[in-house]
Amino acid sequence: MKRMLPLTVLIIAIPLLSCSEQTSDFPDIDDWTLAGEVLTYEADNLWEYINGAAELFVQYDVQTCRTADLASGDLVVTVDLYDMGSPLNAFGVFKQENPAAPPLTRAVMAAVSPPYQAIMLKGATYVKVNAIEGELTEASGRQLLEALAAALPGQTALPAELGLLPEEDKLAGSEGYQREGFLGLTELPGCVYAAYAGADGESWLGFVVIAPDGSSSTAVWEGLAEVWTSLEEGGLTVLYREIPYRGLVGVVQADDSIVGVSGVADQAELLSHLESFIR
Amino acid sequence: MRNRPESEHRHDEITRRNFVKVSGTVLAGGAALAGGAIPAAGATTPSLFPTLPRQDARIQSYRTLGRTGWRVSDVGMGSVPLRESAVVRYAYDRGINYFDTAESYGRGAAERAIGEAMQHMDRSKIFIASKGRIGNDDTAEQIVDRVRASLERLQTDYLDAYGIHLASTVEALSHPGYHAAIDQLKAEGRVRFKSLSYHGPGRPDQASMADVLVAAAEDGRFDLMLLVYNFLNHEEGDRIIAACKANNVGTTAMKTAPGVLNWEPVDPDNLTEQQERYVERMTGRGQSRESAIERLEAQAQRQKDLYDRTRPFVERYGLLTEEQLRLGSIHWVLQNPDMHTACIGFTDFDLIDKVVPLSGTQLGAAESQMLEQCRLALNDQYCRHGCKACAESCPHDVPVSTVMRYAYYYEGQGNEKYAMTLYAGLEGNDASTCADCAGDCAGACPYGIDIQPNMLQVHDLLTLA
Repeated sequence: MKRMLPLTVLIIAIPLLSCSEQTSDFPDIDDWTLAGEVLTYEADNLWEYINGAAELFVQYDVQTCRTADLASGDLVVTVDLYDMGSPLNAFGVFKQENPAAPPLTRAVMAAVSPPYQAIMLKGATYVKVNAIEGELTEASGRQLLEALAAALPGQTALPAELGLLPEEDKLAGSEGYQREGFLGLTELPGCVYAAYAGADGESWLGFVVIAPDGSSSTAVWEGLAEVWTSLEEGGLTVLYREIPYRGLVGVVQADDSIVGVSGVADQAELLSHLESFIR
Repeated sequence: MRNRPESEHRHDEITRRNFVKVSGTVLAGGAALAGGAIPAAGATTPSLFPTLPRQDARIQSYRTLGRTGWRVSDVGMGSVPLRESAVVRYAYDRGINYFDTAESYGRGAAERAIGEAMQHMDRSKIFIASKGRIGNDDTAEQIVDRVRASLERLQTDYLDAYGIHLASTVEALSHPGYHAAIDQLKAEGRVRFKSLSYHGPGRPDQASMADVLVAAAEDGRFDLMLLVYNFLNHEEGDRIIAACKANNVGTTAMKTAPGVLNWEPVDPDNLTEQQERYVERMTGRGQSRESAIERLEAQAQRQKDLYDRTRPFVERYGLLTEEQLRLGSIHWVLQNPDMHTACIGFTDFDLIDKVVPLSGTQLGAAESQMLEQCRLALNDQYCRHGCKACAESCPHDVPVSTVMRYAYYYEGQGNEKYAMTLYAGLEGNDASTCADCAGDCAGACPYGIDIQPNMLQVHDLLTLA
């Protein structure tokens, strides 16, 4: 049985590594031997492995979860490789599961939490390592993550969509990706978001809509226009609504995308934040 | 004047949409089936599901949660994958007072979301049940620490229940560390009741859900439990509920809305775009294309099995959309007064507005009558998958229900090429022989389907004749 996780998280740097070709269904890691079989779960049977926790992964479009026990000396770990289909989905589920983790950066995409766990993002894969026998040290965790990173496809980098968020006043590490129902609103599809510092010390959320596959930002805008209130301001059309207990959320079209802010008290504040957000 | 046949009455009473182009016969397939029986939008007869979303709706029914004595809302709140504390508060303001969570849901994120809403809720009026995976060698001290961490995330001084998450063996019910920890926490006022959950075996060597949970109900130490209960999986649940009732144990339901309305077949020579992407991803990891397709086919088979099992429910209630299926399924669970609360995974405000109006409601007489009309109208329209009642009547061994299913793939699912390929594979057993047949199959269908004309039209459809 897997052990509980410690609260502290130490961050380590994983160097940028290019992807390498796979030769089997599970990465072959030097100094680690496969203990038992590789199990693969799909979205529709992932609950058999992680029970209720599967819901989150399904919401983020998990493609497969490959899991195997690896042994090295006295240490035995379970390695879970969640293929989330895209780096953005992998990032989104990582942030949902690790909201308190220190900020990810281009070169720091992993965390080791001795003595039990290590986690990492690589391309579309979210990697979880849990010690089941012996204790995972920072060194052994780092060595294993580096080897896994070398073996997994994709880039060691934050998803490109996060670049849509303006940098000015953004609170470091607050970025996230909600794949559907952002802010508890079914009409809002996937959004990348971050917290921003306001002039009065209060923070507010800024977000950019990521149109679902097979849709477009125009279609999303038209859908919102049907159910949200519209106002014109400075040549811009603003759509907005109230969120229960959370004040207003509003969006505008900017270039080819839809950007928005939430967590504001009134229209004046909404317009002010929208203006600064798209500037 | 001659009385019209009963079937004509029925067809007049229900406005039907001609959803297949084959002789008006409903082909195998739940979605199409429902489409044929339930009035189209704008028709005078209302659909059953969903009830209109209502922001002013409140919980109408509270049930006693076994020996805890708590009166809990029939609609409870599950918390996977909960993230918005405002949604918790919204549920509370609608009268929901039962909140199920776990340390593993989003690695504590669900507990944190409930905790953030706590300042807006009257703690004394809500029941919070959390749970954790308990390892065989976990000590009481470790478990106490984990419960304290849950309390911290939930921003509360006590939990109404703390349970064994995924108790997969009868032996797990007697985990010494768990009982010692909860007994200690109960003495401290940090936990009030013991609970457990189990959804059934993930591996063949594990015990059944009923084996474990019936034993737990009779064990005497557990006050409430969380079990799978839905229209697809209620035989075990009914046994468990009976045991709980006999022992005054609280019952809470999870996985209340299973089932699918559609499934997508896999044609290795003609993969859909999405299937091709899946295969590319698998081959990119070193798998062979054949292996990836085999995995896809296994996945499709699981979906098909689920679809086949869902279909009778869809047929009975005339469900047209995934949302209707979801709400109808939840409504089904709510009908059982011995299931004390159904834990629904609310992640948005809209779903609360749709589910809360179901609280305390039962199918009324008018709705029941309409359901019966739907059922009767469908009865002689629907070729049952796997039914072979007419097989012996056919001198040419035409597999009637199989042919009808292929027609559904063509018309109902739009998989023309796939359907035609399958049909071509029947070779000498296809329906071309029906053209010159004397029609021995007349009256052979126990459900009243006129087989021969349907076979001829389906043959034309699947051969583009």
